[in-house]
Amino acid sequence: MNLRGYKTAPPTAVRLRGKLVWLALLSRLRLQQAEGLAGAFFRAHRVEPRGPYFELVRRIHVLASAMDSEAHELLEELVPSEVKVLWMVWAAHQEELASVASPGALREELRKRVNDDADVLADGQAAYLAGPSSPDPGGFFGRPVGELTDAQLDYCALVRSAFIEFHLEGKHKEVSSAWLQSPSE
Amino acid sequence: MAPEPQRVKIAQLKGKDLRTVHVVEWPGLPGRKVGLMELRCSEQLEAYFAAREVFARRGWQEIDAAALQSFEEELHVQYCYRMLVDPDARDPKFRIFDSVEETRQRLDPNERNFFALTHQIRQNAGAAGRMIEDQKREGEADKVKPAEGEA
Repeated sequence: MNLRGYKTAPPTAVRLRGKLVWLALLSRLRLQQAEGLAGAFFRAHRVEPRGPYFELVRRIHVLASAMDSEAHELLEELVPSEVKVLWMVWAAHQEELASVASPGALREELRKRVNDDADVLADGQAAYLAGPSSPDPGGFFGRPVGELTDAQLDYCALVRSAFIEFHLEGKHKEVSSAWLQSPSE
Repeated sequence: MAPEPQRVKIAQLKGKDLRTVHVVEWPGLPGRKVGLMELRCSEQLEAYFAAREVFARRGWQEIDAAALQSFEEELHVQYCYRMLVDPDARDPKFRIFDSVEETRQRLDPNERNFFALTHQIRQNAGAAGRMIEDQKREGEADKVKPAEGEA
């Protein structure tokens, strides 16, 4: 097993009307976008975005993003109790990954892996040196920070510290702030 | 390497476009049936925005504690207009009232409350129940599936 397992957060699945629906984890940026769209939908109706109906729309926008679907399609097709169940599954999954990737637990896991796994070492080293212009734009490294989940951000910080701690032997303690910044910033 | 999960398009979740309709007795009229169609999110929002608009036309800009009960009643009118259908039809085109105004005039507050509450209970129990059944079936299927290399 190598660090590539962390590059994209695993989706979870739930059965809806007999079909398996995949729900992806969302980055903070995508959550903000979904919430912005929900707010805009309400303001378009000249209604303040708050209350249980706004919460329903907000959840639908978040779920649409997690399902890689269109919010208006979910609005037209689902009943609120279905949205509720999807939301519970998605929220539990998002929360679960965040707790698994708690700094302490993940640091311990990385200690083991960085020491034992040659792939991890090579992968981590390449990523550390390449920084945001990593030649693997579709993967975890080199992606704009705004697209990463909280757990992935924790992971970035931990990879960096673990790498320095275990493999650079103090030679590169100063890490460029550009490493964790979007290339567009 | 695990296969990439396939995206299920929302269109694939649609059945034959038939709607869930619960047949209930008209309150106080034993034997008289009416269809109570489960409203989807878009229809419930439509009802909510319509109720807000009615309120705004009456000069209420904010729904405060004093206005809350009247707003709930208006919301029930909007819901009843959209969800009460011919019990034999599973189609929103077969509403029993022609307009919101007719719904407001013909239904008394107790009837509106009864239908709104029944809709909420049936819808919650119905959709959640179906999803729980799905999960159960999935669990049973896993149990009978032979382990890898066993077959």
